This record gives sequence, structure tokens and C-alpha cells, in this order.
Amino acid sequence: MKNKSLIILLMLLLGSGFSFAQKMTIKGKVTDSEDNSPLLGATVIIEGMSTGVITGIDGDFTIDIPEKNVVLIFSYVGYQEKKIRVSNDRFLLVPLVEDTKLLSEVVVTALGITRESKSLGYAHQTINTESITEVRDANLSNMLAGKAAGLNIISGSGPTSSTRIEIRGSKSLTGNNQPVFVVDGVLIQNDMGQEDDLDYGNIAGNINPDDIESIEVLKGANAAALYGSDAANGAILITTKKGKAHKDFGVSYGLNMMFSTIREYPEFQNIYGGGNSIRLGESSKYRDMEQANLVMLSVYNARSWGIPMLGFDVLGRNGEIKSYSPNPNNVYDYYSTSRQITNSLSVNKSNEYGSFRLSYTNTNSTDVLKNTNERNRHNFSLRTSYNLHRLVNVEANVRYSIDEVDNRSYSGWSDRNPMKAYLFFPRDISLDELTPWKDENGNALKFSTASDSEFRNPLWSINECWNEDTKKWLLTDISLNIDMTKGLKFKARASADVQTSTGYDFTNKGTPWQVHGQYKSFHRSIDNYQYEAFLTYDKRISDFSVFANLGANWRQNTMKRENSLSNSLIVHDMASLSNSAEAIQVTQSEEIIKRQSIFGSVSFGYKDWIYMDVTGRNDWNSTLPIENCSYFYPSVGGSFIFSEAFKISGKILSFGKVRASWAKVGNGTSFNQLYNNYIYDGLFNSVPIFSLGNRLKNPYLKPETTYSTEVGTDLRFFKSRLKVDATYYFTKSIDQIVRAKVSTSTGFSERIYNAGEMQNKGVELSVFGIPVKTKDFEWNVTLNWAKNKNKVVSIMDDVPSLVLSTWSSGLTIGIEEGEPYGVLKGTDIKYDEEGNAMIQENGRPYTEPDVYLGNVQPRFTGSLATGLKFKGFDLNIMFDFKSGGKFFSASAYHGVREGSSLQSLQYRDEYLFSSTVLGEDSNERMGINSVTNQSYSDSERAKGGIYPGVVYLQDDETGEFIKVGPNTNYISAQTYWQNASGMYSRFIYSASYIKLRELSVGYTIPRKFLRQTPIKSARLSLVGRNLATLYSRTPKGIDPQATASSGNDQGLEAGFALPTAYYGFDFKISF
Amino acid sequence: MKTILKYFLLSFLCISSFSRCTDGFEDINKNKHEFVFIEPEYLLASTIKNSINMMGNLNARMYWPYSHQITISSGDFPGYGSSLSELNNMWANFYSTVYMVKAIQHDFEGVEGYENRVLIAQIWECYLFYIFTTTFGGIPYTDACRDDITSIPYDNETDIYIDILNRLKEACNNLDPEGDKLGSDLIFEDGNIERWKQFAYSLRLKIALEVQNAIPEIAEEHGKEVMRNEEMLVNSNEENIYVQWGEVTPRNTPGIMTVMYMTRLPPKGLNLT
Repeated sequence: MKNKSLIILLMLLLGSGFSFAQKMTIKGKVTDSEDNSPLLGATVIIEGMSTGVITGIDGDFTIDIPEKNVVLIFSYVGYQEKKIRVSNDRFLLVPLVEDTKLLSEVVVTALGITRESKSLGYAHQTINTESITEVRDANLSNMLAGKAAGLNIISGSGPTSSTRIEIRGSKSLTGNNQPVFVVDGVLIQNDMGQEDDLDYGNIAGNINPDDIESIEVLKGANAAALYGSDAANGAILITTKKGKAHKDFGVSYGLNMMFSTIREYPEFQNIYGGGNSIRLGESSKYRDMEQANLVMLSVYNARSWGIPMLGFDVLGRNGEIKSYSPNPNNVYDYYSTSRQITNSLSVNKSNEYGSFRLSYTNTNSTDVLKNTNERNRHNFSLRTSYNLHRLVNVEANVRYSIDEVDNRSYSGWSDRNPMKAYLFFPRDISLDELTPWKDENGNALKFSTASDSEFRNPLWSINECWNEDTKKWLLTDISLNIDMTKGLKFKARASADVQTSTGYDFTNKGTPWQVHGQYKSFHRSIDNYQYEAFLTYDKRISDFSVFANLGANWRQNTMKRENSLSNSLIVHDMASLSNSAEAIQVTQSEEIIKRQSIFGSVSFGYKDWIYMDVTGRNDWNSTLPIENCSYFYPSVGGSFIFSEAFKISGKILSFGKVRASWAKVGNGTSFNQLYNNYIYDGLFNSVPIFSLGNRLKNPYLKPETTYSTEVGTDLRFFKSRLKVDATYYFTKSIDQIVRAKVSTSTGFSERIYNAGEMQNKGVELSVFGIPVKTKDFEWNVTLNWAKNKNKVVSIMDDVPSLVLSTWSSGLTIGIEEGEPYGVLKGTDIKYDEEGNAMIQENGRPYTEPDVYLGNVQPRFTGSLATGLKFKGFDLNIMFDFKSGGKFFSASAYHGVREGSSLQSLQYRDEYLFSSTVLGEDSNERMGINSVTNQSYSDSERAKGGIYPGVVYLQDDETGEFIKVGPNTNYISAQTYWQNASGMYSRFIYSASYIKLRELSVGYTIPRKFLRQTPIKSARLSLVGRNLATLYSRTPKGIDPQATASSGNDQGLEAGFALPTAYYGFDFKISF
Repeated sequence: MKTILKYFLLSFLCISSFSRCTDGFEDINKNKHEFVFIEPEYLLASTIKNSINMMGNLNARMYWPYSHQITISSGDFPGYGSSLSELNNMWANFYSTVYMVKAIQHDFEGVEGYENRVLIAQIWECYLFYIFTTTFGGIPYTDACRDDITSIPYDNETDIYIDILNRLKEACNNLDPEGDKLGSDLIFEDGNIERWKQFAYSLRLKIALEVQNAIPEIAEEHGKEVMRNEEMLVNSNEENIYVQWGEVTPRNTPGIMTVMYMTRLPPKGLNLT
């Protein structure tokens, strides 16, 4: 198939002729008409010919022309084009006028086609890429936070993890909800890298920001209709830098150095130490008979429910005498300052024959937790373009990255995650007591022999569990561009996105929770090949313009994995498959998805003020049953520039446009979802055995469909000093491919269906203004704001809700009919009809399962950025914010359950005073004098924790509740807080925040100082990222943006990385 | 304009030829590490492994605490009795096991040379339902493992026993000692059909005796019929029917070891009769 198109290309190539010309030399200089500064890199071409040159550093040029009377065309980005007919002058001084109207702004749209912004019928937003090479994050995706209205960035735990992106809410109930990344027209396979407690990151994070020229966000199906299925959730189009014109060649060097420290630690209490029920040891076995006055600290009671730490001696958990006193730094001690150094170098050149750009960037970083996330990434890139003939151009691009990471941090609710260990820490524990963490045999020192439920020593997981992996990514493409006849162009492109990763994950032998140790090694590869060819036609006939394209795309994705696993090791410390004490388990998998498409679009324009767009695309997708594998989807859109049409552009309104569009996008599913086949499941008594999996597949699947409608306006005032862009959209997704739970009596636990409908509607607003602008000073403000309202209209007949994930036993994140996506439900206090909490006789509340606790969808999100420029200095600040949306914090939950967080101090003193000092008994704490059976005289004083509510008795037989009276029963703080699993609502927090996301102060050396030097530009800036959380309603140390998942099941925090600030400097110089 | 149109037409033709090949799509979407066809012995082996794991669990986590009137709350294998989620897991395991044993019958029913093996699957299915029905009472039976409905109706306990007895009878009558046998049999040496027949007869008697108060006539009818062929029953300890966990690959270790540890099983394995 590809061959066929290649032959056609060759034929076209041969059909064109070559021509040569006579010589006559013209010299000149191109300048800015206002300040006469030279314009470097302006193009000078001879009309009707391919010959052209580019101005040098002083704006000078030399061009050979075949004869007199030719017309030279001078052009420069942001300036109006100028034509000059050569007469006798051998030297031309050409002042170009700045194009202030900027009406012919071009943007990169789907398929890499550049279109005039004003002709587009849908919303698109160009991301300001200035800061992404300065205020750096090692992961490109994280740097998109706050950069566009409605672009929701959900960063994983730690700097090397995956980043989830959502635009305009969730559209698929159980499928993919993320936009596609497109680099120079090539769709990349950007799978999330989360695997159990490790997150291998996603490949888009490895795109080198130094290579990026521009980023365009296509927010919905309307903009991305030509990309088809993959872009149903929008697209992020990245265009990388090309070679530029230089006298000799251009060289740029950049050094960026960022440091990071934790800026917010969780608030631990430092009053009560390890123990249980306000006791250090519960029985005589905690008394050391040889040192009779010393109490032994027990391990089972290691959680901080002991007594106030008054500094007396006790026998520590390691058998050494220690002081029972607070160790406020026992968590902070593990953290230090990390660094991230980025060096980048690029060489580039462009002339009339072509251009090239070669770059190399190295990123070397560590993390705040010692030894973790040590990254060394190399990014190589070569972009070349060559004009074979005046009408034929070839491009070849190679981008290659090697990303080596040692010791990715363990995240989520894993025993290997030190963040989890801290929560179970007794507050009296010190680093000394935890060192050494292993015995002479290399096994973990267990502080007790009996129980497995002791806390984990974080030093074990930090030192005895490690992993290493290398990810290599080759993204390469070659393309051929032919100007066939006037206005008709042909482009063919072949590209390969090849990702391989290898690595291992090692848990040492002697690990408390995995005594035999574990070694896993993996090799994964993704081969994503694409071939694409299309024709574009661009023509103006007087007032009418037409722009059309027609093309085809062929794409195949192959994902292979090979995992080897040993669950039993021979010796300690040897991370190798050879160190396996059992037969190694090897699993292989391969997934292939093939997509073929033809697409076309036509756009008509009249007088540059009204445009109409129609697109169509047909896909053939191998994941669907053959009879349903072909699906067609169209889009229609238009834009109307009323300021032009009614000639109302003036001093106030300089540009006004309204736009509207409608689109339909179809989507397939993932690999192998049609038939259940037998899966090899090992050997049993030497006989191979098989399983069918727990998901019943469906051979009758249809494509999913999303309908999307949007209207918007683009207004500019005061000579574009104020720009407003607003969009309203409505999307409806139907026939969703849903994995729904079914009765297990079917033999399966879930099944794949075509069902369900989900709607999203919302508003996006971005405002840009320059309130003050003088010759030396400028102040600009950018506001991005978006609101999305999601609604799950239906899931399936008989299935009103679906569970996406379950945490612990009582808490789920799910989907529910009539509710926005992502419902948190859990066990909570039961209330009677009057709204009183129903309390049991023992003082604890009755509970009810599956109580609605909140929804994860935010009310609105946005960012506010402002920039000040004064001469060479500039200051840029960006805040981003989110309002609403809830999440459950497992860290906060365990913080109180284990008695380690500040919150758990509540009621403790009262109870200590009542029970230990006064010796009151439980009757007295209930308000009854135990001796007289009368009411207790000191009933007003708080004697511990109390649940306000009404006491009910429950009839054993009938289950009926009998009202008794108000609850006056004070219970111990420990009982109160360890009842956390019956009141999950206490640990649901608002995800609202305002953060100081980016800050930079820079100085660019004015060009006039550099005129005598070979330096073209130089800049130094001080930068900061994630510097502060200005507003949040979460407990300290819990990031309101925390998440335990990069999947659809947002709304859970569990041992998430502590909020970290990045700050440093950036230096750039180019010659 | 004409040339342009020509180009468009030409490219349209070439594009349509380029994109029309959906050939091979079905192969592409097939996981080549999965099996479409498996001989019944392997499926039955998988079923037997799942069955004994499940029954070991039932023994350890349910029957043992019930019979000892105890809940274990600490130690190396703590368990707080049978929690709802544990029962749910057991239920799911049971029906996924039944699914496979039904699949054998469905796929090889009427295929020449597979008659005995289909009947063996039938015996095993009866055995599984017998265990589960005696544990829970009425359970989904007739419509169990239907993949075209989402919620499966329950059957009456006695109806299940009646059907099991009849199907065991069918197996007893139709198993042909001269016919096909399991290539690798985890329970009987060399896939001995006579022994399978013995299993079916014994099971029938066992069930008939257990349900004699609930459905006296039917129990009597089956009991009498079995006793008429007394030589077909397990007549000595040597003929007891066992299934062995035996050697295991690492992937199966933890689950089985847990169960074996908890039930303190004799090295011989689980006694089915």
C-alpha cells in the first residue's frame, strides 16, 4: 500500500523540471520601520522563483538576480510583506512595517496544516512556551498546568511519574479520557506508566522543551475531527524548532539549575508517644525483669496511642535504653534538597537550500527523598529540511531520547512507600532506633516476632528495595512536500514512534512483607508506525477563497511485553534472575491495533469575513468486529468576522468574530475485547492449565460516538491590547464501550457492553490584556478560566452505578446515573429522620454503607498570569486555581487512626484527665455516678471524645431502632478516632486550591550592548515552580492536587508525595 | 481547475485502494498468546485445580471455624470467620469454574471420540453443584453461566438435587470403558473410565442418602438403582477417591500452601468421597 503511494510520488517528482538563472548582484538591508533596528532572518525572494536569501545579523542580504525588473519580496514574521521592483539600485534599504493588526495570524491545526486563525470555526489556544524552558519541570506535561483554559493537568506522585491530562471533562465511562499528543504531525502513543506501586511515567513527559517552538491545544472533537478517534478528547499539537537563518550558523546554549525542597510537611502531634489505651505496655510481659523500673515499648502498640512523652527512660524497640520523648523530626530527617540540572546545546542553520537544527539536552536530577528518582535523560534531535527543487521539499526528523531512572519512588498505598510508613510511626521513634534495619543475615529486623501488623521501617524500603529502568524513544519521520500546480500541494509522510523500556524491580530477601524477596524484570516495546498522504488545495478567486484537503492515513500500533518474575530469591542483595530459588515465571503479551482512514475537508471563505468548513473522515479499526469496523464521522463549522463584515472595527473594537461548529467522532476500543480465549495459567501436577479471565468479552461491539457542538467568540479591543476568547460547548457521548460488573453467577465478574451516555457542557474563557504599554515598560495579564459540567445520563439497563475502584473495604470511587463522573461513596454515620447522628449505647455511632460523600468534578479551574517588562528586565508570575471537587485522603485517615496526626490530639487530654488522673469509670463518663446511680455531679466537663447525637437501641429480633435520648457518653480519644472507618466523610477534602505555580525574574541583555560581540542574545533568570499553595482546605502536607491514580478513578490520595517547591536559575545564550 | 480535479480524482482512487484492506483485521485483533482450542483434559485439569482450591478454602475458612465454633483472629493466617467479600470471591470462583466445565460439555457435545470426556465433565459439574448446594441451599443452576443475561435466577434446592441425580445417572449409564479417556487425568490413573464410573455411582448414592428426607421417592429410586450395581461403588479404603495438590509451579504456591497449612491436609490430598 505504501509502495503504491511512493511510486506516485516518484512519478510526480520526475515530471517536474529544473531551471537555472543568470546572475546580477543586489545588496541591501532590511530594518524595522519604526526604530530602524536591523531585522535578522527576514526572507528575500524573487517573485515567481524559488531563489531566495535570508538577512544576516545586521539585516543585510546579498542576492543574485537573473535580470533587472524582477520583483523582490521581503517578508518577516509579524511584519507586513513588502514588494520592491529592482531598477538600477544595487543597494536597497528596506524598512518593514510591523503588522499590528495581526489579523493573518496563522495557527497549526489538525494534520499540521497551518490555517488562518480567523477562519477557524472552533476553539484553539496557543500555549505560551516561553516559560517551559525556564521554569522547568522534568516532565513536559506538568508544565502545561495553567497554560490554557480548561486544560486540566493531574500530576502523579513524584517527579518521574505519569501526568494525566483532561480537557472538557470525561467523555468515556470506562475508556480513555485523555487528549492525544501530536509532535510535528505525528501522533504519539502516550500510555500512562502506572504499574502497581511504581509509575514509569508517560512518554509525552520526555519531549524536550528546548526543542519546542509552539504548542497548540485543540480542545474538542470539533478541532480534532480530522485526527479522528484518537482525538475525541482533544489534541495537544507540538511543533518543534527548525533551523533559522544565520550568517554562519546559530548556536544556543542553555543551563538550567533547579533545586527543590519540601515546602509542607504533614502536621504530626508530638505529645503522645507509642503505646495503646494510654499505656506503654499492657501486661507484665512488657516489664523487663532485669531492669524492673523500665518499661519495654511494645511493637504491636507502636502506634501513638500511649502516654505523654515526658522524657523518662524506657527500653526501646531495639532493646536499647532510650528516652520516651518526642522526635518531631523523625519524618523530616529523610528529606533533603534535590537538584535538577539541564544543559542544552543546539546548532542550526537555514538558507535557500534548506535548513537543519541539531540539539542535545541532558537532564540530570535527584529527588528530595535520598536515592530516589535519580534521573539522567538525554534528548537528541535533528530536524532537517531540504529543497530538492523549487517545488519539491523533503524533511527528515529524528528525535531520540534515553531516559534512565534509578529507584523510582514507590507510590500509593504500598508497603514500599515510606510515606505510608510514616503514618504508622510512633511519635517517639527516632532514626537511631530504626538503624540498623537488618540483622547480620541481612533480614529485616523485626521488633517483634509475633505480629505482622507492626509498622514498616522506612529505612528498609529506602535501602533494600530498588529498581532501575531505561526508556528509549525514537520518534522519526520523513516527509515529502510537492507544490504541484498553483495552490495544490501534496504531502506524504512516514513516521515511526518506537518506544522500548527495560528494567527491573527488586525487593530484597528478608523483607518483612515478602520474606523470600522478589525480582521482576521487564522488556516492553511500543511500535507505532504511521503513513499519511494528503493533498491540499488553496485558491482565491476574487472575493472567494477555497481550502480543501483529501488524504489517507494508515497506522499500526504494536505493544509487546515480556515479564519475568521470581518470588523467591537465593541470596540477599543480588538483583538478578539468576538469583531465583524457584522456577522463573515468564509472561508474554502482544497487542496490535491497526487503523486506516481516509479524510477530507473543504473550507470556503468569502471576502475574508465569512468561512464555512466541512470535514469528513472514515476509519477502519481492527479492534471492532469486522462488520462494525468501519465508521464515518463528519463535522461542520463556520466563522463570521462581523467586525470586517459590518466595517465596525475602530478605535475600541479592533476585531470581532463569532464561530460555531458541530462534530461527530467515532471511537474503537482496546485490543482483543471481542472473544474470550484460553489463557495459559501455568502447570499443575505437570498438566498445563488455563483460564478464561474474569471479563466476558463482546463480539457485537459498535464504535463509541461523541457528538460535540460549540459556539464561541473572539473579540479584540484597543488595537488588540485586550483580547477575549469565549467558548461554550456541549458534548454527548453514546454507545460507550463499558466494562460493567455482572452477577458472578455468569462465570465472570464483568462484561463489556455498548451502553451508556455521558454529557459535558461548559464554558472556556481566556482574556489577555496589556493595561500599560510604553516604550520601555509593559504590563500584561492573562486569565484562563473554564467550567465543565459533567453528567452521566445512563450507564446500562439495570445498572445504575459502576465502581471504578475500591479503597479499603468501605470506600469506593464510582459512576452513578444522574451524577457527574466520579462519585465518592463510603461507610458513614447513620442519621435518623430528624438529622441526628444515631449513636449506639457504647458511644459509637451506627454506620451505614455506601453513603454519598462527594463528587470529584471541580466547579471551575483556571489560571491568572501577569508579566511586567521594563527595558531588559521582566517578571512573570502565574497562579493557577481550582474550585470544588472532592477527594478522600487515606493519609489523613490513617494519621488519626494511628494517632500520629495533629488532629488525633483532640479529646486526648480530656480523656487522660478523666481516666488516668481522676480515675473516672465509663459510667461516670456517661454522666452516671457509679456509686449512687444518680447523675454524676461533674457532668459538664468534657471527659473524652463524644459523638453528638441521639442514642438508639436496636432490637435484636426486628432490627428496629428505639430512641433513648441524647448521647452523653464520653469515649476515649483512641476509640473515637479508631472508629474512622465508620466516618469516611471526615476524610473527604475539597480539592480547591490556589497555587503560585510559576515565577520568574529575568534579564535579557539588550541587543545594542551585544552588537560588537558574536553573542546574539543572552538571558539570565531566577525561576521558581510550585512555590506555594496560597489557599487550600486540606490538612498540611496533603496536596489538594494529590491523586493515587493516573486513570479514570480520580479522587483518592494515599501516601502522595509531599508538596515540593522548585527554584533555581536559568541561563541562555545564543551566538 | 481541470488538472486539479484530475489530481483529486486520481488521489481519491489511490486513497480508496490504500484504505480498503481490512483483511487480516480479525487476525490482528487476536492475542497470539491465547488459545482458541484446548483439549478437554487440560480444561478439566484447570477446573479440578480451581475446584480443590475452592474446597480447601471452604474447609479452612468456613467449615473448620463453623465446626469448631471459633473465629481465628491472629496468628500467621488470621481470619475473622467468613467475611462477605470472602464469600463473594468463593462464589465468583465457583461459577467461573463451572463455566469452564460447562464449556467442555458445550464444545465437545456430540463430537465423535469425546463422549466419555464430555460425561466426565458432566460428573464434575454435578460434583461441584452438589458441594455448593449443600453449602448454600438454592443457588443459580439452570441458567448459571449464561452470558446473555446480566442477572441469573436462582433454582430451588430440591430441583437442583433432582437434576444432579439424573445427570449422574446419565453418566453412569453412558460412560463407555472402551471409549475415549482423559489423556492426562489428575484423579485416576491412566484416565480409568471404570473409576470415573465408580465416582459417579458413589456420588449418586451419597447425594441420594443426604436428600432422602427432602425428596424421599427420588432418593429411593436412585439409591436402589445404585445398590443394584453395588460392585460399581467404592468398596474399600484403597478405592477412596483423592485429588492431590502434589507439585505446583510457583505461580500457584501461595494460595495452595495457605490452604494446606490451614487445613493440615494429609499429604495424600483432598478426599472427595
